[in-house]
Amino acid sequence: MASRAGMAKQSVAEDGTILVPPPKAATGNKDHYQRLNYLYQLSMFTTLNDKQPLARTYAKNLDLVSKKTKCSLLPQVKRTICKKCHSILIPNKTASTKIRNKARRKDPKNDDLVIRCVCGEEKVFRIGLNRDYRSFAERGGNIIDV
Amino acid sequence: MSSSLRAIEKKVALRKQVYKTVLGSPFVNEAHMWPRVQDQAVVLELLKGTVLNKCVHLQGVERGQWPLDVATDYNEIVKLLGAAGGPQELDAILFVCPRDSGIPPVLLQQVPLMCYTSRGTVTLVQLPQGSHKLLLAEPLYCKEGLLLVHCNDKLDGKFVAAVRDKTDPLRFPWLDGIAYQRTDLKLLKTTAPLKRKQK
Repeated sequence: MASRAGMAKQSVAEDGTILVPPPKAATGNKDHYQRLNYLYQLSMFTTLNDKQPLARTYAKNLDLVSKKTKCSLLPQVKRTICKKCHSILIPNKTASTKIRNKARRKDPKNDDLVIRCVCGEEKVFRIGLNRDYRSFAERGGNIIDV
Repeated sequence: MSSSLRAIEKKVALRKQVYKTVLGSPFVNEAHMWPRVQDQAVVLELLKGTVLNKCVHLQGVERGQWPLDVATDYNEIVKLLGAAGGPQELDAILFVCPRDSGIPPVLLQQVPLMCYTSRGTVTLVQLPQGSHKLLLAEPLYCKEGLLLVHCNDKLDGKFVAAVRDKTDPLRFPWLDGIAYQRTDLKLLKTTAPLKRKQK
């Protein structure tokens, strides 16, 4: 049984959530994260050296390893990888960006940000619906540096 | 069994705070991408005096007849930045409001990279918080918080020199010669449901 002195101090928030202080270091699966980091950087390096097939292989490995080991990537990182051909999306090199509005009346609410990969796959962000939208990880206070 | 207030609260609790490890990347860290601007307030005043105040008086005048060459549309700016090997290299200053509300962060995520990879000389200047209001004024109406000003004969040379002097150059060391960066682990603060024992 864990001693009381060794246990972290916990309290309960108003919405019924038990609050826990953050751990001092990121624990678990550190090897996998290092492997993912290495694969991402390798893929970027090979993309910049115009070795697309090799870069895509590394990025595909990265995707497989992250799914198999349940290691998450930040959305900002995932946005830079094409879901179809696994290219690293670098503007003016492997991707193009534009704002598209398909609506007849061109209402700004229908603005979409389209990031188009060289393979033709598009990432579409419905930015017009809520221009203040931030993903959970982008909202202040949700990310803690280790 | 303990009947303290804390024990009762824990019984009632439905969720527990958890910390999940996520992998960040030094390559997409926006904080490092945006160049630092010394005296942002001074730069904003310069912009007001040289560009914005002039544009206010140009309502109803066609964009082609303006005494300044500016671009405010996102697609137009992206096209200008991406035009490789054109007849003239782009020489411009791009003013951006990355900290204001009403501008999606995903829209601006690739702007510094686009400036860096463009063939010409593009100075990226981030404006202080609250400056989006100024850019929204008619007839400019910079909806996306981007204002590209061409540095040509029409623009005051002193203004260009002053703005460039106060802005650090864009730096992307990983695009020039990549060096291995340490694993950038972060903790994501979220909640998970508490599993109750089935009786």
